[in-house]
Amino acid sequence: MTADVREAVAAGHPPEVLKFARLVGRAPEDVAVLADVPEQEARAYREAVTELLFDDAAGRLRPAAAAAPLLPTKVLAIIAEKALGPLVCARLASLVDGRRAADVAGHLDPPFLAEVAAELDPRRVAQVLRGIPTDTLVAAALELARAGEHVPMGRFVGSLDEAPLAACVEALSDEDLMRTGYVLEDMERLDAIFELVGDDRARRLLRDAREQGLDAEADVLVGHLDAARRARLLAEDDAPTATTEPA
Amino acid sequence: MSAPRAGRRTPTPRPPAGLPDDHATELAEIVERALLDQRRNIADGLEGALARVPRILRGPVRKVAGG
Repeated sequence: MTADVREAVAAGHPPEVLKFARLVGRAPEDVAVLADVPEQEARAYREAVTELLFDDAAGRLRPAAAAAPLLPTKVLAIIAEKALGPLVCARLASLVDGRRAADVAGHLDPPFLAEVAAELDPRRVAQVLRGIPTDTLVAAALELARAGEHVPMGRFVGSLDEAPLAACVEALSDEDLMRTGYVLEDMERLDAIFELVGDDRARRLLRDAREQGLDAEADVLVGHLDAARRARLLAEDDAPTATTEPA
Repeated sequence: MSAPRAGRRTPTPRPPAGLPDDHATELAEIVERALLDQRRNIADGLEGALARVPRILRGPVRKVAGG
């Protein structure tokens, strides 16, 4: 399932609704009741459900993970794409050695790798991504963006080390950066991302977002920026002052 | 690559307390469905995986995976 953030925002769905919908494979409308509870509670519930799903999968996949070292990485990649599918691969990736997971990832087609990345355990996504070459990560990020998978992108991009993050920021469109930023898992990284984006692009990104009616997204992003950066961007831009403060 | 056999270890989380009962029940059912879908996905994936393992390695893989 993909979640089109623009439509979802137009429908009034906050980030936690979008993230929970993506986690359980439903449309945001199906879980929109989560908008009625404080964000912290919705987040805590999502994290508990994440634990349930990933721990249940781990219990079922541990024997298969134990057998993975017996097989060459090319064979594992074939099995991954032809038999296991992205969800099972992502769950398995959390159970095998990170270097080996990265080796297998290097043999996967970017579209499939993107699907796997979208399903990775958010608690271990950084560890899994660390060993994957930057070019491969950028290709996967572009595939995720093309598929409208901005919620997984919010985990994926936010979990990257600086060099691959910079490459992804450069490769992604302004719109995809805006959509991804809206559902970024770790808002603490937003300033690092905006540092890479640069002030000129950031102003353009925010201005275009408001012209496209994406005020909610722009407000969330601006509200989470470092105060100095926020003041700088707003002072030199005609965008309305955002009032959203970091949670 | 044996069939899934582990039982559930983590209890289903309680939906946020502030939700009305009917909404909480709906959410709990959605989570339960997601869990069952995931289990089916895993079972289907593992079933197909062994057939793709080179014949010479199937024995050792079965032995390690407990199948």
